[in-house]
Amino acid sequence: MRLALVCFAFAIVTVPSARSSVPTPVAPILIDVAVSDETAQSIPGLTAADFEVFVDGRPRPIESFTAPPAPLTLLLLVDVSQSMAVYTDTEPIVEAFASSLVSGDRALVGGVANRLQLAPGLIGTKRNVVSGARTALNFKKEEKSGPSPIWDALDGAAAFLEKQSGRRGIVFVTDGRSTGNRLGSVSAVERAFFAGITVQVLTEARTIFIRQDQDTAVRVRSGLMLQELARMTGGLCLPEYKPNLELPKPGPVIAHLVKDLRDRYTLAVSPEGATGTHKIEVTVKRPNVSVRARSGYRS
Amino acid sequence: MVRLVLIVIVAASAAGSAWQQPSFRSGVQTVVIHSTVKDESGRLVPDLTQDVFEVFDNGKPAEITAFSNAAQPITVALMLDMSGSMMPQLIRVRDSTLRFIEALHPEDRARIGTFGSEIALSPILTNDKAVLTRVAREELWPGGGTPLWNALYAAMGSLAGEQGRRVVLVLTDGMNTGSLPGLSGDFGNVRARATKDGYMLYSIGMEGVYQDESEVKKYLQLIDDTGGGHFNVSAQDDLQATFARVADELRRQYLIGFAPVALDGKEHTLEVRMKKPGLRARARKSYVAGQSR
Repeated sequence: MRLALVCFAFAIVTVPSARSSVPTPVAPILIDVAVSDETAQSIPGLTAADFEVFVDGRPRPIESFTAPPAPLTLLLLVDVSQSMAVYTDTEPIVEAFASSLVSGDRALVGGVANRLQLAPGLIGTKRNVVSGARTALNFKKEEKSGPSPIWDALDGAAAFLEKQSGRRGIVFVTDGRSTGNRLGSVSAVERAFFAGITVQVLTEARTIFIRQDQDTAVRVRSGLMLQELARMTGGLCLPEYKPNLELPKPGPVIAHLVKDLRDRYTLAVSPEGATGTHKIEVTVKRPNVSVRARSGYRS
Repeated sequence: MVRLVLIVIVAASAAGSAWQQPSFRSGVQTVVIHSTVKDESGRLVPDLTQDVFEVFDNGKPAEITAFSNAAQPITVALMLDMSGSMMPQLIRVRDSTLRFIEALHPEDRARIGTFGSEIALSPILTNDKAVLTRVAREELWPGGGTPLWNALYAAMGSLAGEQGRRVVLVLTDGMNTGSLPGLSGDFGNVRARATKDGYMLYSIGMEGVYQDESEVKKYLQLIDDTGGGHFNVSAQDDLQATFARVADELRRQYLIGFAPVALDGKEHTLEVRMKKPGLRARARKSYVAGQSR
Protein backbone atom coordinates (compact mmCIF):
# COMPACT_ATOMS: atom_id res chain seq x y z
CA MET A 1 0.00 0.00 0.00
CA ARG A 2 2.82 2.34 0.87
CA LEU A 3 4.54 1.71 -2.39
CA ALA A 4 1.35 2.41 -4.29
CA LEU A 5 0.82 5.67 -2.49
CA VAL A 6 4.37 6.86 -2.97
CA CYS A 7 4.15 5.99 -6.63
CA PHE A 8 0.91 7.87 -6.95
CA ALA A 9 2.31 10.93 -5.28
CA PHE A 10 5.53 11.11 -7.18
CA ALA A 11 4.96 9.25 -10.38
CA ILE A 12 4.07 12.34 -12.33
CA VAL A 13 7.52 13.37 -13.46
CA THR A 14 7.40 16.21 -15.92
CA VAL A 15 9.95 17.90 -18.08
CA PRO A 16 10.26 21.69 -17.86
CA SER A 17 7.74 23.29 -20.14
CA ALA A 18 8.41 26.30 -22.30
CA ARG A 19 8.24 29.36 -20.06
CA SER A 20 6.04 32.29 -20.83
CA SER A 21 7.93 35.43 -21.74
CA VAL A 22 5.91 37.37 -19.14
CA PRO A 23 6.80 36.18 -15.63
CA THR A 24 3.78 35.45 -13.46
CA PRO A 25 4.09 35.84 -9.69
CA VAL A 26 3.73 32.49 -7.97
CA ALA A 27 3.07 31.76 -4.32
CA PRO A 28 6.03 30.30 -2.45
CA ILE A 29 5.88 26.79 -1.10
CA LEU A 30 5.60 26.86 2.68
CA ILE A 31 7.23 24.00 4.50
CA ASP A 32 6.61 23.47 8.21
CA VAL A 33 9.58 21.59 9.60
CA ALA A 34 9.80 19.71 12.88
CA VAL A 35 13.31 19.19 14.23
CA SER A 36 13.76 16.97 17.25
CA ASP A 37 16.55 15.34 19.20
CA GLU A 38 17.04 11.71 20.12
CA THR A 39 14.50 12.04 22.94
CA ALA A 40 11.86 13.40 20.55
CA GLN A 41 12.12 16.89 22.06
CA SER A 42 11.92 19.86 19.71
CA ILE A 43 15.19 21.70 19.11
CA PRO A 44 14.85 25.48 19.45
CA GLY A 45 17.15 28.25 18.30
CA LEU A 46 17.87 27.13 14.74
CA THR A 47 18.35 29.66 11.95
CA ALA A 48 17.81 29.53 8.21
CA ALA A 49 21.47 28.69 7.80
CA ASP A 50 20.91 25.38 9.58
CA PHE A 51 18.49 24.15 6.93
CA GLU A 52 18.80 22.84 3.41
CA VAL A 53 15.82 22.28 1.11
CA PHE A 54 15.90 20.00 -1.91
CA VAL A 55 13.19 19.92 -4.53
CA ASP A 56 13.31 16.89 -6.78
CA GLY A 57 16.82 16.33 -5.44
CA ARG A 58 18.11 19.79 -6.33
CA PRO A 59 18.96 22.38 -3.63
CA ARG A 60 16.63 25.37 -3.47
CA PRO A 61 17.31 28.71 -1.78
CA ILE A 62 15.27 29.44 1.34
CA GLU A 63 13.47 32.68 0.61
CA SER A 64 11.98 33.26 4.01
CA PHE A 65 12.31 31.72 7.42
CA THR A 66 10.07 31.85 10.50
CA ALA A 67 11.19 30.49 13.84
CA PRO A 68 8.72 29.02 16.32
CA PRO A 69 6.37 29.45 17.98
CA ALA A 70 3.65 30.26 15.49
CA PRO A 71 -0.10 30.48 15.95
CA LEU A 72 -1.90 27.36 14.81
CA THR A 73 -5.08 26.63 12.93
CA LEU A 74 -6.06 23.19 14.12
CA LEU A 75 -8.76 20.63 13.64
CA LEU A 76 -9.11 17.78 16.12
CA LEU A 77 -10.76 14.89 14.30
CA VAL A 78 -12.03 12.11 16.56
CA ASP A 79 -13.32 8.76 15.36
CA VAL A 80 -16.20 7.79 17.65
CA SER A 81 -17.46 4.85 15.61
CA GLN A 82 -18.39 1.53 17.18
CA SER A 83 -15.12 -0.15 16.20
CA MET A 84 -13.09 2.14 18.49
CA ALA A 85 -12.14 0.01 21.46
CA VAL A 86 -9.62 1.96 23.58
CA TYR A 87 -9.89 5.70 23.02
CA THR A 88 -13.63 5.74 23.52
CA ASP A 89 -13.67 8.40 26.23
CA THR A 90 -13.37 11.61 24.25
CA GLU A 91 -13.29 13.93 27.24
CA PRO A 92 -9.55 13.67 28.05
CA ILE A 93 -8.76 13.96 24.34
CA VAL A 94 -10.74 17.16 23.92
CA GLU A 95 -9.52 18.52 27.25
CA ALA A 96 -5.86 17.98 26.35
CA PHE A 97 -6.38 19.48 22.92
CA ALA A 98 -8.14 22.57 24.24
CA SER A 99 -5.57 23.01 27.01
CA SER A 100 -2.78 23.00 24.44
CA LEU A 101 -4.15 26.05 22.65
CA VAL A 102 -2.61 29.48 23.24
CA SER A 103 -3.58 33.00 22.35
CA GLY A 104 -3.72 33.46 18.59
CA ASP A 105 -4.60 29.85 17.85
CA ARG A 106 -7.83 28.93 16.13
CA ALA A 107 -9.33 25.49 16.46
CA LEU A 108 -12.35 23.32 16.07
CA VAL A 109 -13.34 19.72 16.67
CA GLY A 110 -14.82 17.24 14.23
CA GLY A 111 -16.39 13.88 14.97
CA VAL A 112 -16.42 10.85 12.71
CA ALA A 113 -19.14 8.24 13.02
CA ASN A 114 -21.02 7.36 9.85
CA ARG A 115 -20.25 10.90 8.64
CA LEU A 116 -18.10 13.90 9.49
CA GLN A 117 -19.64 16.37 11.89
CA LEU A 118 -17.78 19.63 12.49
CA ALA A 119 -18.26 22.04 15.36
CA PRO A 120 -19.53 25.41 14.16
CA GLY A 121 -16.57 27.55 13.09
CA LEU A 122 -13.01 28.11 14.18
CA ILE A 123 -12.72 29.42 17.72
CA GLY A 124 -9.88 30.48 19.93
CA THR A 125 -10.75 29.82 23.53
CA LYS A 126 -10.51 26.61 25.43
CA ARG A 127 -14.04 26.88 26.75
CA ASN A 128 -15.52 27.38 23.31
CA VAL A 129 -13.53 24.51 21.83
CA VAL A 130 -14.78 22.17 24.55
CA SER A 131 -18.30 23.41 24.03
CA GLY A 132 -18.04 22.95 20.25
CA ALA A 133 -16.71 19.44 20.77
CA ARG A 134 -19.91 18.45 22.55
CA THR A 135 -21.79 19.25 19.36
CA ALA A 136 -19.27 17.68 17.01
CA LEU A 137 -18.98 14.44 18.92
CA ASN A 138 -22.66 14.00 19.61
CA PHE A 139 -23.91 11.18 17.41
CA LYS A 140 -26.86 8.86 17.70
CA LYS A 141 -26.11 5.25 18.58
CA GLU A 142 -27.11 4.06 15.13
CA GLU A 143 -24.71 6.53 13.54
CA LYS A 144 -21.86 5.07 15.59
CA SER A 145 -22.86 1.51 14.66
CA GLY A 146 -22.69 2.31 10.97
CA PRO A 147 -19.63 2.66 8.76
CA SER A 148 -16.49 4.63 9.63
CA PRO A 149 -15.67 6.71 6.55
CA ILE A 150 -12.44 8.09 7.96
CA TRP A 151 -10.98 8.93 4.56
CA ASP A 152 -14.04 10.93 3.57
CA ALA A 153 -13.82 12.67 6.94
CA LEU A 154 -10.14 13.45 6.50
CA ASP A 155 -10.89 14.86 3.08
CA GLY A 156 -13.67 17.01 4.52
CA ALA A 157 -11.42 18.25 7.31
CA ALA A 158 -8.62 19.08 4.88
CA ALA A 159 -11.09 20.81 2.55
CA PHE A 160 -12.12 23.02 5.45
CA LEU A 161 -8.55 23.80 6.50
CA GLU A 162 -7.14 24.40 3.04
CA LYS A 163 -9.20 27.59 2.88
CA GLN A 164 -7.52 28.86 6.06
CA SER A 165 -4.22 30.68 6.26
CA GLY A 166 -1.25 30.11 8.56
CA ARG A 167 0.13 26.90 9.96
CA ARG A 168 -2.57 24.28 9.67
CA GLY A 169 -2.76 20.87 11.20
CA ILE A 170 -5.14 18.01 11.81
CA VAL A 171 -4.90 15.90 14.96
CA PHE A 172 -6.60 12.66 14.06
CA VAL A 173 -7.67 10.07 16.64
CA THR A 174 -8.77 6.82 15.00
CA ASP A 175 -8.36 3.06 14.79
CA GLY A 176 -7.76 3.22 11.04
CA ARG A 177 -10.58 0.79 10.23
CA SER A 178 -12.01 2.68 7.30
CA THR A 179 -15.37 1.64 5.86
CA GLY A 180 -18.15 3.21 3.83
CA ASN A 181 -15.96 5.81 2.11
CA ARG A 182 -16.79 7.58 -1.11
CA LEU A 183 -13.11 8.32 -1.53
CA GLY A 184 -10.20 5.96 -1.41
CA SER A 185 -7.40 6.48 1.06
CA VAL A 186 -5.05 7.85 -1.58
CA SER A 187 -7.47 10.57 -2.68
CA ALA A 188 -8.06 11.64 0.89
CA VAL A 189 -4.38 11.74 1.78
CA GLU A 190 -3.70 13.69 -1.40
CA ARG A 191 -5.81 16.65 -0.35
CA ALA A 192 -3.99 17.16 2.96
CA PHE A 193 -0.66 16.45 1.31
CA PHE A 194 -1.06 18.94 -1.52
CA ALA A 195 -2.58 21.61 0.73
CA GLY A 196 0.45 21.45 3.02
CA ILE A 197 -1.62 20.47 6.04
CA THR A 198 0.27 18.43 8.60
CA VAL A 199 -1.66 15.44 9.93
CA GLN A 200 -0.77 14.18 13.40
CA VAL A 201 -2.25 10.81 14.33
CA LEU A 202 -3.03 9.17 17.63
CA THR A 203 -4.10 5.67 16.79
CA GLU A 204 -5.26 2.56 18.54
CA ALA A 205 -4.66 0.61 15.34
CA ARG A 206 -3.32 -2.84 15.95
CA THR A 207 -1.37 -5.26 13.89
CA ILE A 208 -2.86 -8.71 14.03
CA PHE A 209 -1.73 -11.94 12.50
CA ILE A 210 -4.52 -14.26 11.40
CA ARG A 211 -3.91 -17.82 10.43
CA GLN A 212 -5.64 -18.71 7.15
CA ASP A 213 -4.55 -22.30 6.77
CA GLN A 214 -1.67 -24.54 7.79
CA ASP A 215 0.83 -22.64 5.69
CA THR A 216 -0.49 -19.11 5.53
CA ALA A 217 -1.03 -16.27 7.94
CA VAL A 218 -2.14 -12.81 7.03
CA ARG A 219 -0.98 -9.63 8.73
CA VAL A 220 -3.71 -7.05 9.10
CA ARG A 221 -2.46 -3.51 9.79
CA SER A 222 -5.16 -0.92 10.09
CA GLY A 223 -2.51 1.63 10.99
CA LEU A 224 -0.41 1.27 7.87
CA MET A 225 -2.16 3.97 5.87
CA LEU A 226 -2.21 6.26 8.89
CA GLN A 227 1.56 5.97 9.18
CA GLU A 228 1.86 6.83 5.52
CA LEU A 229 -0.52 9.76 5.91
CA ALA A 230 1.59 11.18 8.73
CA ARG A 231 4.86 10.57 6.92
CA MET A 232 3.75 12.24 3.72
CA THR A 233 2.38 15.33 5.44
CA GLY A 234 5.32 15.64 7.83
CA GLY A 235 3.32 14.50 10.84
CA LEU A 236 3.70 11.93 13.56
CA CYS A 237 1.77 8.69 13.98
CA LEU A 238 1.76 7.66 17.62
CA PRO A 239 2.30 5.39 19.36
CA GLU A 240 4.91 3.76 17.19
CA TYR A 241 4.08 0.12 16.65
CA LYS A 242 5.77 -2.43 18.85
CA PRO A 243 4.68 -5.98 19.65
CA ASN A 244 2.59 -6.14 22.84
CA LEU A 245 2.34 -2.39 22.93
CA GLU A 246 0.28 -0.94 25.73
CA LEU A 247 -1.52 2.11 24.44
CA PRO A 248 -0.64 5.35 26.26
CA LYS A 249 -3.15 7.66 27.88
CA PRO A 250 -4.40 10.00 25.18
CA GLY A 251 -4.01 13.35 26.93
CA PRO A 252 -0.20 13.60 26.99
CA VAL A 253 0.04 12.31 23.42
CA ILE A 254 -2.41 14.93 22.18
CA ALA A 255 -0.48 17.64 24.01
CA HIS A 256 2.76 16.40 22.45
CA LEU A 257 1.25 16.37 18.96
CA VAL A 258 0.04 19.97 19.29
CA LYS A 259 3.39 21.09 20.73
CA ASP A 260 5.17 19.38 17.85
CA LEU A 261 3.13 21.49 15.44
CA ARG A 262 3.77 24.69 17.34
CA ASP A 263 7.53 24.17 17.60
CA ARG A 264 8.04 23.96 13.85
CA TYR A 265 10.12 26.21 11.66
CA THR A 266 8.48 27.53 8.52
CA LEU A 267 10.63 27.75 5.40
CA ALA A 268 9.52 29.22 2.10
CA VAL A 269 10.97 28.26 -1.26
CA SER A 270 10.00 29.18 -4.79
CA PRO A 271 8.15 26.44 -6.61
CA GLU A 272 9.64 24.58 -9.51
CA GLY A 273 8.39 25.94 -12.80
CA ALA A 274 7.22 22.65 -14.17
CA THR A 275 3.64 21.63 -13.59
CA GLY A 276 3.29 18.46 -11.62
CA THR A 277 4.18 16.85 -8.35
CA HIS A 278 7.56 17.54 -6.82
CA LYS A 279 9.42 15.81 -4.05
CA ILE A 280 10.61 17.86 -1.08
CA GLU A 281 13.43 16.93 1.25
CA VAL A 282 14.60 19.04 4.16
CA THR A 283 17.82 18.45 6.06
CA VAL A 284 19.39 20.13 9.09
CA LYS A 285 23.12 20.58 9.31
CA ARG A 286 23.41 19.18 12.82
CA PRO A 287 24.18 15.70 14.03
CA ASN A 288 21.67 13.35 15.61
CA VAL A 289 18.53 15.24 14.74
CA SER A 290 15.30 14.01 13.29
CA VAL A 291 13.60 16.14 10.64
CA ARG A 292 10.00 15.89 9.51
CA ALA A 293 8.32 17.95 6.81
CA ARG A 294 5.83 17.52 4.01
CA SER A 295 7.33 15.23 1.42
CA GLY A 296 6.10 17.01 -1.69
CA TYR A 297 3.89 19.57 -3.34
CA ARG A 298 2.04 20.06 -6.58
CA SER A 299 2.62 23.09 -8.76
CA MET B 1 -48.86 3.62 -12.69
CA VAL B 2 -45.88 5.84 -11.98
CA ARG B 3 -43.86 2.85 -10.92
CA LEU B 4 -44.88 0.92 -14.00
CA VAL B 5 -43.57 3.70 -16.22
CA LEU B 6 -40.32 3.78 -14.28
CA ILE B 7 -39.79 0.08 -14.76
CA VAL B 8 -40.17 0.49 -18.50
CA ILE B 9 -37.72 3.38 -18.54
CA VAL B 10 -35.13 1.47 -16.58
CA ALA B 11 -35.49 -1.48 -18.87
CA ALA B 12 -35.26 0.71 -21.94
CA SER B 13 -32.11 2.40 -20.72
CA ALA B 14 -30.34 -0.91 -20.86
CA ALA B 15 -31.37 -1.62 -24.42
CA GLY B 16 -28.55 -2.79 -26.59
CA SER B 17 -27.20 -5.15 -23.98
CA ALA B 18 -28.25 -8.73 -23.51
CA TRP B 19 -31.09 -7.42 -21.39
CA GLN B 20 -34.29 -7.07 -23.38
CA GLN B 21 -37.17 -4.96 -22.36
CA PRO B 22 -40.24 -6.91 -21.29
CA SER B 23 -43.51 -5.50 -22.50
CA PHE B 24 -46.03 -4.32 -19.93
CA ARG B 25 -49.65 -3.80 -20.75
CA SER B 26 -50.57 -0.20 -20.15
CA GLY B 27 -53.26 0.55 -17.57
CA VAL B 28 -52.88 -2.74 -15.70
CA GLN B 29 -51.27 -3.05 -12.26
CA THR B 30 -48.39 -5.44 -12.71
CA VAL B 31 -46.58 -7.37 -10.02
CA VAL B 32 -43.12 -8.41 -11.09
CA ILE B 33 -41.51 -11.61 -9.90
CA HIS B 34 -38.22 -13.24 -10.81
CA SER B 35 -38.11 -16.99 -11.03
CA THR B 36 -35.30 -19.50 -11.13
CA VAL B 37 -36.07 -22.73 -12.98
CA LYS B 38 -34.10 -25.91 -12.48
CA ASP B 39 -34.43 -29.43 -13.78
CA GLU B 40 -34.47 -32.59 -11.71
CA SER B 41 -30.69 -32.67 -11.50
CA GLY B 42 -30.58 -29.11 -10.18
CA ARG B 43 -29.30 -27.53 -13.39
CA LEU B 44 -30.56 -24.12 -14.45
CA VAL B 45 -32.94 -24.25 -17.40
CA PRO B 46 -32.70 -21.23 -19.69
CA ASP B 47 -34.69 -20.09 -22.73
CA LEU B 48 -38.13 -21.23 -21.63
CA THR B 49 -41.14 -19.42 -22.98
CA GLN B 50 -44.09 -17.85 -21.22
CA ASP B 51 -46.49 -20.66 -22.03
CA VAL B 52 -44.79 -23.13 -19.68
CA PHE B 53 -45.29 -20.88 -16.63
CA GLU B 54 -48.30 -20.55 -14.38
CA VAL B 55 -48.71 -18.02 -11.59
CA PHE B 56 -51.07 -18.52 -8.67
CA ASP B 57 -52.08 -15.55 -6.55
CA ASN B 58 -53.67 -16.65 -3.26
CA GLY B 59 -54.16 -20.00 -4.93
CA LYS B 60 -56.00 -18.59 -7.94
CA PRO B 61 -54.49 -18.50 -11.45
CA ALA B 62 -53.26 -15.03 -12.39
CA GLU B 63 -52.85 -13.68 -15.87
CA ILE B 64 -49.24 -13.28 -16.95
CA THR B 65 -48.97 -9.80 -18.45
CA ALA B 66 -45.23 -9.54 -18.97
CA PHE B 67 -42.45 -12.00 -19.54
CA SER B 68 -38.77 -12.01 -20.35
CA ASN B 69 -36.31 -14.87 -20.64
CA ALA B 70 -33.40 -12.58 -21.53
CA ALA B 71 -30.28 -12.43 -19.40
CA GLN B 72 -30.89 -9.93 -16.65
CA PRO B 73 -28.52 -7.42 -15.10
CA ILE B 74 -27.71 -7.77 -11.43
CA THR B 75 -28.23 -5.09 -8.81
CA VAL B 76 -26.79 -6.50 -5.62
CA ALA B 77 -25.72 -5.50 -2.15
CA LEU B 78 -22.97 -7.95 -1.26
CA MET B 79 -22.77 -8.29 2.52
CA LEU B 80 -19.63 -9.89 3.89
CA ASP B 81 -19.53 -11.29 7.40
CA MET B 82 -16.41 -9.93 9.10
CA SER B 83 -17.16 -11.36 12.53
CA GLY B 84 -14.34 -12.88 14.55
CA SER B 85 -15.17 -16.41 13.45
CA MET B 86 -14.62 -15.42 9.82
CA MET B 87 -11.02 -14.34 10.45
CA PRO B 88 -9.48 -17.58 9.13
CA GLN B 89 -11.42 -16.99 5.90
CA LEU B 90 -10.37 -13.38 5.38
CA ILE B 91 -8.15 -13.80 2.36
CA ARG B 92 -10.44 -16.37 0.81
CA VAL B 93 -13.38 -14.01 1.17
CA ARG B 94 -11.49 -11.00 -0.12
CA ASP B 95 -10.06 -12.82 -3.12
CA SER B 96 -13.41 -14.36 -4.01
CA THR B 97 -15.04 -10.96 -3.74
CA LEU B 98 -12.44 -9.54 -6.09
CA ARG B 99 -13.16 -12.31 -8.57
CA PHE B 100 -16.89 -11.68 -8.22
CA ILE B 101 -16.27 -8.02 -9.04
CA GLU B 102 -14.10 -8.95 -11.99
CA ALA B 103 -16.87 -11.16 -13.37
CA LEU B 104 -19.60 -8.51 -13.20
CA HIS B 105 -21.08 -7.53 -16.54
CA PRO B 106 -21.10 -3.89 -17.65
CA GLU B 107 -24.81 -3.50 -16.89
CA ASP B 108 -24.53 -5.03 -13.40
CA ARG B 109 -24.21 -2.87 -10.32
CA ALA B 110 -22.96 -3.82 -6.87
CA ARG B 111 -22.54 -2.33 -3.46
CA ILE B 112 -20.17 -3.91 -0.93
CA GLY B 113 -20.95 -4.00 2.77
CA THR B 114 -19.54 -5.68 5.82
CA PHE B 115 -20.92 -6.61 9.21
CA GLY B 116 -19.14 -7.37 12.45
CA SER B 117 -18.21 -4.65 14.89
CA GLU B 118 -20.16 -2.27 12.62
CA ILE B 119 -22.65 -2.45 9.79
CA ALA B 120 -20.63 -0.79 7.06
CA LEU B 121 -22.30 -0.39 3.70
CA SER B 122 -20.43 1.39 0.98
CA PRO B 123 -22.37 4.45 -0.17
CA ILE B 124 -21.46 3.54 -3.74
CA LEU B 125 -23.65 1.30 -5.88
CA THR B 126 -21.74 1.05 -9.11
CA ASN B 127 -20.56 -0.95 -12.08
CA ASP B 128 -17.13 0.66 -11.76
CA LYS B 129 -14.88 -2.27 -11.04
CA ALA B 130 -12.01 -0.06 -9.93
CA VAL B 131 -14.17 1.49 -7.22
CA LEU B 132 -15.51 -1.89 -6.08
CA THR B 133 -12.01 -3.31 -6.03
CA ARG B 134 -10.80 -0.39 -3.95
CA VAL B 135 -13.58 -1.01 -1.43
CA ALA B 136 -12.81 -4.73 -1.26
CA ARG B 137 -9.12 -4.04 -0.76
CA GLU B 138 -9.40 -1.17 1.73
CA GLU B 139 -12.54 -1.78 3.74
CA LEU B 140 -12.56 -5.35 5.03
CA TRP B 141 -11.72 -5.34 8.74
CA PRO B 142 -12.32 -8.49 10.74
CA GLY B 143 -13.75 -8.48 14.24
CA GLY B 144 -16.95 -8.32 16.24
CA GLY B 145 -20.07 -10.45 16.38
CA THR B 146 -22.63 -11.39 13.74
CA PRO B 147 -25.40 -8.79 13.64
CA LEU B 148 -27.01 -10.63 10.75
CA TRP B 149 -30.51 -9.15 10.93
CA ASN B 150 -29.16 -5.61 11.29
CA ALA B 151 -27.00 -6.27 8.25
CA LEU B 152 -29.79 -7.66 6.08
CA TYR B 153 -32.15 -4.88 7.10
CA ALA B 154 -29.58 -2.20 6.31
CA ALA B 155 -28.58 -3.84 3.03
CA MET B 156 -32.18 -3.92 1.82
CA GLY B 157 -32.60 -0.32 2.89
CA SER B 158 -29.57 0.65 0.85
CA LEU B 159 -31.33 -0.61 -2.29
CA ALA B 160 -34.67 0.98 -1.47
CA GLY B 161 -34.43 3.62 -4.18
CA GLU B 162 -33.52 1.16 -6.92
CA GLN B 163 -35.90 -0.07 -9.56
CA GLY B 164 -36.18 -3.60 -10.82
CA ARG B 165 -34.82 -6.69 -9.14
CA ARG B 166 -32.98 -5.95 -5.91
CA VAL B 167 -30.76 -8.65 -4.50
CA VAL B 168 -28.93 -8.94 -1.19
CA LEU B 169 -26.21 -11.58 -1.24
CA VAL B 170 -24.84 -12.40 2.18
CA LEU B 171 -21.71 -14.40 2.91
CA THR B 172 -21.66 -15.67 6.47
CA ASP B 173 -20.57 -18.54 8.68
CA GLY B 174 -23.03 -18.03 11.47
CA MET B 175 -26.38 -16.94 12.71
CA ASN B 176 -27.32 -13.68 14.34
CA THR B 177 -25.52 -13.05 17.61
CA GLY B 178 -27.32 -9.85 18.50
CA SER B 179 -27.93 -6.30 17.40
CA LEU B 180 -25.57 -3.37 17.37
CA PRO B 181 -26.53 -0.37 19.51
CA GLY B 182 -29.29 1.74 18.03
CA LEU B 183 -29.73 -0.26 14.83
CA SER B 184 -33.06 -1.47 13.51
CA GLY B 185 -33.72 -4.91 12.22
CA ASP B 186 -34.73 -8.15 13.89
CA PHE B 187 -35.93 -11.23 12.08
CA GLY B 188 -39.49 -9.92 11.91
CA ASN B 189 -38.40 -6.58 10.46
CA VAL B 190 -36.21 -8.29 7.88
CA ARG B 191 -38.96 -10.63 6.80
CA ALA B 192 -41.51 -7.83 6.62
CA ARG B 193 -39.25 -5.59 4.54
CA ALA B 194 -38.31 -8.42 2.20
CA THR B 195 -41.94 -9.40 1.67
CA LYS B 196 -43.44 -5.94 1.43
CA ASP B 197 -40.82 -4.46 -0.86
CA GLY B 198 -39.87 -7.57 -2.81
CA TYR B 199 -36.17 -8.02 -2.03
CA MET B 200 -34.48 -11.24 -3.06
CA LEU B 201 -32.06 -12.72 -0.53
CA TYR B 202 -29.21 -15.03 -1.43
CA SER B 203 -26.85 -16.62 1.03
CA ILE B 204 -23.51 -18.34 0.86
CA GLY B 205 -23.00 -20.29 4.05
CA MET B 206 -19.39 -20.88 4.98
CA GLU B 207 -18.77 -24.05 6.89
CA GLY B 208 -18.37 -23.04 10.47
CA VAL B 209 -20.40 -22.09 13.39
CA TYR B 210 -24.04 -22.52 12.51
CA GLN B 211 -25.26 -23.04 16.03
CA ASP B 212 -28.96 -23.24 16.59
CA GLU B 213 -30.75 -25.52 14.14
CA SER B 214 -34.06 -23.74 14.52
CA GLU B 215 -32.36 -20.40 13.76
CA VAL B 216 -30.76 -21.86 10.67
CA LYS B 217 -34.08 -23.27 9.54
CA LYS B 218 -35.76 -19.91 10.04
CA TYR B 219 -32.99 -18.19 8.06
CA LEU B 220 -33.14 -20.62 5.17
CA GLN B 221 -36.92 -20.40 5.08
CA LEU B 222 -36.65 -16.62 4.85
CA ILE B 223 -34.30 -16.91 1.90
CA ASP B 224 -36.56 -19.41 0.22
CA ASP B 225 -39.60 -17.19 0.75
CA THR B 226 -37.92 -14.32 -1.09
CA GLY B 227 -37.22 -16.52 -4.10
CA GLY B 228 -33.49 -16.41 -3.44
CA GLY B 229 -31.09 -19.25 -2.90
CA HIS B 230 -28.68 -20.69 -0.40
CA PHE B 231 -25.33 -22.32 -1.15
CA ASN B 232 -23.23 -24.17 1.40
CA VAL B 233 -19.46 -23.96 1.06
CA SER B 234 -17.06 -26.20 2.91
CA ALA B 235 -13.45 -25.37 3.65
CA GLN B 236 -12.42 -27.35 0.58
CA ASP B 237 -14.96 -25.86 -1.81
CA ASP B 238 -14.15 -23.21 -4.34
CA LEU B 239 -15.76 -20.04 -3.04
CA GLN B 240 -15.12 -18.21 -6.29
CA ALA B 241 -17.06 -20.88 -8.15
CA THR B 242 -19.93 -20.47 -5.73
CA PHE B 243 -20.02 -16.73 -6.33
CA ALA B 244 -20.08 -17.49 -10.06
CA ARG B 245 -22.99 -19.89 -9.57
CA VAL B 246 -24.98 -17.23 -7.76
CA ALA B 247 -24.28 -14.70 -10.50
CA ASP B 248 -25.20 -17.21 -13.17
CA GLU B 249 -28.44 -18.06 -11.42
CA LEU B 250 -29.35 -14.40 -11.09
CA ARG B 251 -28.70 -13.72 -14.75
CA ARG B 252 -30.82 -16.63 -15.87
CA GLN B 253 -33.88 -15.81 -13.88
CA TYR B 254 -37.15 -15.29 -15.70
CA LEU B 255 -39.01 -12.05 -15.30
CA ILE B 256 -42.73 -12.60 -14.98
CA GLY B 257 -45.31 -9.89 -14.57
CA PHE B 258 -48.86 -10.72 -13.58
CA ALA B 259 -52.07 -8.93 -12.80
CA PRO B 260 -53.02 -9.41 -9.15
CA VAL B 261 -56.40 -10.94 -8.42
CA ALA B 262 -57.25 -8.21 -5.90
CA LEU B 263 -55.58 -4.98 -4.83
CA ASP B 264 -56.55 -5.31 -1.19
CA GLY B 265 -53.31 -4.16 0.43
CA LYS B 266 -52.90 -7.57 2.09
CA GLU B 267 -50.15 -10.16 1.91
CA HIS B 268 -50.94 -12.72 -0.77
CA THR B 269 -49.38 -16.12 -1.27
CA LEU B 270 -47.65 -16.57 -4.57
CA GLU B 271 -46.68 -19.68 -6.47
CA VAL B 272 -45.02 -20.20 -9.82
CA ARG B 273 -45.67 -23.62 -11.35
CA MET B 274 -44.21 -25.23 -14.43
CA LYS B 275 -46.43 -26.94 -16.98
CA LYS B 276 -43.45 -28.85 -18.30
CA PRO B 277 -42.71 -32.04 -16.34
CA GLY B 278 -39.40 -32.32 -14.53
CA LEU B 279 -38.99 -28.59 -14.03
CA ARG B 280 -39.26 -26.70 -10.77
CA ALA B 281 -39.64 -22.96 -10.41
CA ARG B 282 -38.47 -20.96 -7.44
CA ALA B 283 -39.78 -17.48 -6.78
CA ARG B 284 -40.87 -15.34 -3.90
CA LYS B 285 -43.75 -16.89 -2.02
CA SER B 286 -45.70 -13.83 -1.12
CA TYR B 287 -46.26 -10.20 -1.94
CA VAL B 288 -48.35 -7.36 -0.64
CA ALA B 289 -51.13 -6.63 -3.13
CA GLY B 290 -51.07 -3.01 -4.08
CA GLN B 291 -47.29 -2.99 -4.34
CA SER B 292 -46.05 -3.17 -7.88
CA ARG B 293 -42.75 -4.85 -6.98
